Amino acid sequence: MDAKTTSPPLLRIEGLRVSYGPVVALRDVSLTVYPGEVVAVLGANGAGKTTLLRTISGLLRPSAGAIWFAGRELTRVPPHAIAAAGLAHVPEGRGILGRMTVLENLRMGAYTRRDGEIARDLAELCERFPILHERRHQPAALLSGGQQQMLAIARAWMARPRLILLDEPSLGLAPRLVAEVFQLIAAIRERAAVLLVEQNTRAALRLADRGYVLELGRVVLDGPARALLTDEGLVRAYLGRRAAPGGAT
Amino acid sequence: MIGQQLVNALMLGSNYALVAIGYTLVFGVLRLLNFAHPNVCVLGGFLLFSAVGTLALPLPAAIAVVIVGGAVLGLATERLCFRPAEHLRDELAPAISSVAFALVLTELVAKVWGAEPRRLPPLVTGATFDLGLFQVSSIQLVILGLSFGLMLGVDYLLQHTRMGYALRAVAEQRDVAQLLGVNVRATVVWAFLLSGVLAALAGMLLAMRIGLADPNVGLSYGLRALAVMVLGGLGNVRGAMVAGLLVGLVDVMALAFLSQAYSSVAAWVLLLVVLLCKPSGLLGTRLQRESI
Amino acid sequence: MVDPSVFVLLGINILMGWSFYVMLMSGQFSFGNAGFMALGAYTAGIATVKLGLPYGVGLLLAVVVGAVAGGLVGLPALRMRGVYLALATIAFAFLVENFFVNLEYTGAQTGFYGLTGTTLPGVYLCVAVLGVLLLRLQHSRLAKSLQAVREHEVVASTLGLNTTYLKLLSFSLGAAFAALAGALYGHYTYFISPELFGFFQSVWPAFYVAIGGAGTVVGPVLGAAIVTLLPEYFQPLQEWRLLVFGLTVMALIALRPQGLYTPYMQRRLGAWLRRLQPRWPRAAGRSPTAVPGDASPGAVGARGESP
Repeated sequence: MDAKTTSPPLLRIEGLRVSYGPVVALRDVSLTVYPGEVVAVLGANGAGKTTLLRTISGLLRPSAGAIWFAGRELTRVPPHAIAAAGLAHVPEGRGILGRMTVLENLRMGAYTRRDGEIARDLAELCERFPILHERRHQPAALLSGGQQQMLAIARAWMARPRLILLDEPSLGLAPRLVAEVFQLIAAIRERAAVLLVEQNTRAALRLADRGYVLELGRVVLDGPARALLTDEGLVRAYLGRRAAPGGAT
Repeated sequence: MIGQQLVNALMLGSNYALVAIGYTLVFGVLRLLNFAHPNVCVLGGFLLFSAVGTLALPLPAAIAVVIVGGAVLGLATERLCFRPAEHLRDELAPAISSVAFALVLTELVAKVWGAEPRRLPPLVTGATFDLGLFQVSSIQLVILGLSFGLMLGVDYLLQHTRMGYALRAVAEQRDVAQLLGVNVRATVVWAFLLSGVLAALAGMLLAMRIGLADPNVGLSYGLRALAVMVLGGLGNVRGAMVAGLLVGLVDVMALAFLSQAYSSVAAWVLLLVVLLCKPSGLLGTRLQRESI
Repeated sequence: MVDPSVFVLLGINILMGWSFYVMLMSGQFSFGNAGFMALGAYTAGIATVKLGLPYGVGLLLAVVVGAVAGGLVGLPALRMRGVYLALATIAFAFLVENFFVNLEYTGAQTGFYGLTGTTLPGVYLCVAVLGVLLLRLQHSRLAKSLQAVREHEVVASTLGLNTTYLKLLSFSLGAAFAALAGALYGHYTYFISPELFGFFQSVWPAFYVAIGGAGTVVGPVLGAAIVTLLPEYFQPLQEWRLLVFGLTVMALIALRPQGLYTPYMQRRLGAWLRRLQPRWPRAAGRSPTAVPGDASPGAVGARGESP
């Protein structure tokens, strides 16, 4: 982690404030992600995690604060340009284009790319995910939940991004598939940084380098993942509920 | 006799389909109806009339004029009627503005070409082919060729080009499309452009079929194409093609075997039945069930 | 100058605008109100001309038939939203028109005549009575429930609102308004035929609401006045006036897509009027605080409406 933090940050957020009409969803949120890092964003439902990701990728406009990505300010840049700058967002609910085929979804992932290596990346992904290859000509909506999640991550991967935002990738998946998704995220970090929003706090912190805890739209705690994992107060306040079923082993 | 009716049904149906594809493309990306769409059809007919009649252009050049006219009108509709209310996410304002634009176009046609249908000069001279069961004239072959060529072209564009991917992605999930790097506004503009061109060409083909540029076809064709759009499933281009051919068949058969009055009602009854029983469209699958 | 008959039409158009507005209160778009208008006109016309009943009874029958027809059409329409509903209502109006085209009893295509009784004061009496009714409705719990249904149907139903009943009520009420407008209209023009109730007759009310604003009772009135009177003032433009009219409407909507008169303006206007006339001693004594005090509960209410 020390080596990483010496290079300039890939994503830097300062003093971010986002409101839905009169309701303030995020206030004064600051956060950084360095190249090659996995950063977890934790917190209860309604803490503002999804809002944070949607603001980073440009779907929501902040009312104050600034976002820099790869040295460029993105605060008022439209989402499609942010995607083109190398940021891939796997949204809550996976965002699969169900009427398009599996293959077309993967091709949509490479929409911003103009290089000649798209076919090669597709072949590589097909090798990695035999099930996606097998069902490549089927409408994506016919995939199972776990397969859709794999497709969503693989699609983000097709963009060759520098940073991937993942919003609750394990939500609604069977335990076996959850493990698979986390393995996939671990594989991603070899080539891109990851900002991970998760309910499955322990698994996320085991994978992550650092973590931020959001509460009612504020960052209440941040630090190295290992420290957060052993923080007694945090465990009791935020991880307690989830710790019992999922984190025993 | 039946064969002859089939040729008629194919020509009429492909015409409906082309108009409906234009509707459904715009509806797909915006979830809004463009009521000025049928008026672009009417204008397509009159542009053909002026190009081949007044200017005495050859048919390919006349088609180019129609295409340019349709593109300009499509872009104008987007800019004047739909863009100003973009930020409101309101359905009423753009719909009504497009109705007002329809009124403007109607008046414009009346001013420039008059309120009466204008007869086209003979466009294609040539033999009539006897195919045993039925006969096809050269002009009918040209119309059928152009219509089906256009439908195949649109299908190819949607299934295999970058723009087609963008159009389908925006139609399905606007936010996700943006996250994948699709410029939604540009895609909407393309949808209007394509829709305008298709409408103008459909109007041109209609004029070629009946030998007239008729200012009064707008409403009946427009409403019929709306029905076709729903039957095919909103936003579903392939569905619109099949539904267009189906409604064409229903129309022609109703006209042949029932009275005039019933033929105009048949398509509407079909529409109501589909809306009530299967709102996702005749060809809608469970993938397309969504509440709009 | 402007012909007085224009003002009769204006009154009828206001009613048509309100019929669209009332349906829209629960989020239902209807482009088929000409169908209800035709039903009203024919019902009242048959009552007065064919059956010799008094004018008032004819109007009443029209309202009842309109409300019932609205309920019958609204029932299957409950499953539809937005464009589906708009298309279904277009189809409905088209079928009504075709029904009367084929109905020999009322003269089929050519229609029938002899309908009299509508006067300028009569029309505006209806407008006034229904206007007061709508204004009272505007701030009622019913209106808030309708708005909840419009903005978030699922949430509204989980809050215990009977969305089926609310949507049917607003559709049926809107249809009754259109039927009354049709009855008044028929008995003013003396002569009715199916073509009077074509597609554009359904679209005009949407014009009034879009131009004037869908958020207030006054909006549709303003829109109806503009759409009805503007072409009259464009008379000198001769045959160009419809073209200019269309462009004017496009410009109005482009400049104010939310409509000319919005709920926000209504609140501001109300606050301004109250400040202008400190008539009651108690209000006058509190006048500096009265204005913000008035504004904030209104704003809270507006937020509270959308759960």
